[in-house]
Amino acid sequence: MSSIIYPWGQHQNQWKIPETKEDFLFNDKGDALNSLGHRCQEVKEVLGIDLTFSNYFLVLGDNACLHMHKPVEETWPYLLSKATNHQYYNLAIVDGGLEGVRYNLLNWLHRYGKPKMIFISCEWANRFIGVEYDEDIKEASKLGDKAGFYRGRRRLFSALLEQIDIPMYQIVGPNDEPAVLSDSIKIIDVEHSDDEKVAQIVSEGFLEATRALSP
Amino acid sequence: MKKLEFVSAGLANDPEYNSLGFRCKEFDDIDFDNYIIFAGSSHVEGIGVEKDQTFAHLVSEVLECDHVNLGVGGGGIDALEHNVLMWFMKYDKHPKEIVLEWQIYQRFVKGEYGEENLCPGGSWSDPRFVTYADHPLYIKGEMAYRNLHKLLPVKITDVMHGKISSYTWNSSVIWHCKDDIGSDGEHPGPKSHLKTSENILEVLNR
Repeated sequence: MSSIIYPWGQHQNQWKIPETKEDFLFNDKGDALNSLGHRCQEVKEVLGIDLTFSNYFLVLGDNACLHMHKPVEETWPYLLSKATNHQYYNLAIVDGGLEGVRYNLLNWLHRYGKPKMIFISCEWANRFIGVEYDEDIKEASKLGDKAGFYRGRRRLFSALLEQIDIPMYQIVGPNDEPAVLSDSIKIIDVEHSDDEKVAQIVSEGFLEATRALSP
Repeated sequence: MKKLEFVSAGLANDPEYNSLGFRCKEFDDIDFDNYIIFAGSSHVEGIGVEKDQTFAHLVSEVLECDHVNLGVGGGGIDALEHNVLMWFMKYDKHPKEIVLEWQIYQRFVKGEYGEENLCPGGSWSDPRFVTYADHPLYIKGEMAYRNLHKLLPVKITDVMHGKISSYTWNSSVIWHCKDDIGSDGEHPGPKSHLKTSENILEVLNR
């Protein structure tokens, strides 16, 4: 970095917050995106015409839930949907990190209410949103880690999630930093890039829980 | 780790603060059919003035309602946003009004390794971080501002303290100015709070 920037905010007029579609952050490119830029069916196909169907699962995260290099039929949200016979909506955003998860979840709950369950997976949770990762931002990211910025954001978000009374699961691989940490959110310890394994492990747990709840 | 709900910075065992560290009644004692929420930083908390001189107290007195003071000394937009969202997630009964005091966007909430409590951070604690991260912190702040205005079920009245918050995301913002100096020698004093309360009431009665 060439110089320290003072006073605060001299570039504010040049800085633009990320665009949204119908209040949601979205992917602007990728295969099999719906009209809102999400890698799944249209909202009305999941929630029904009157948008009240709630027997579906919601997926939130970043590249870990998208795997844009694969056909959507080979990604774990799709495979999990088939294995559990449940619809899903995938609100994951490329490079969205914790901030993308948080933003889209709050807006989804506000607009459509609670799903049956939520799955969260991030390969890069601790990242800023809405900025290019140049050298200054990389340095800011390192300093943010030392300053406790990301830990603070994670604890605040985790506390909010604890108020939402639905089952939540976080898929965390061996190299991933969790986006949330809470006793009420079950950790599924599996490498997200192995889509078939993720779908298998999660669906086994899902079906077991469903059987346990059945009369 | 202890379960976190609200972020506060109140003094432990200070009779002016409730058991959660906020400078108002216990939340369980609030009249949920007739109350107003204030959230923000030390300016809402009322550092430098008596509890009954804060603009939160003065406004609620005129409106003849209870008030919740979610002011957090040293807190920024992170603390404000979190506390207000937490309130609406925990309590079904909505306030009559919400007054939010938006602080400088470089402030954040620090989570220290091995520490249960979160604490406010900013240029005083992490000057290199807030300098390098000025752009993403600004983006986060403006997103929080726009999101809260969209998500909350009650209209928000915005307040900013002119000394450090120069951005105007809302042209009708009420400026909490330092017309006099509080007992701490730093924050606005009683006259400043009175003026801000009058400006808030003017907007609320419009």
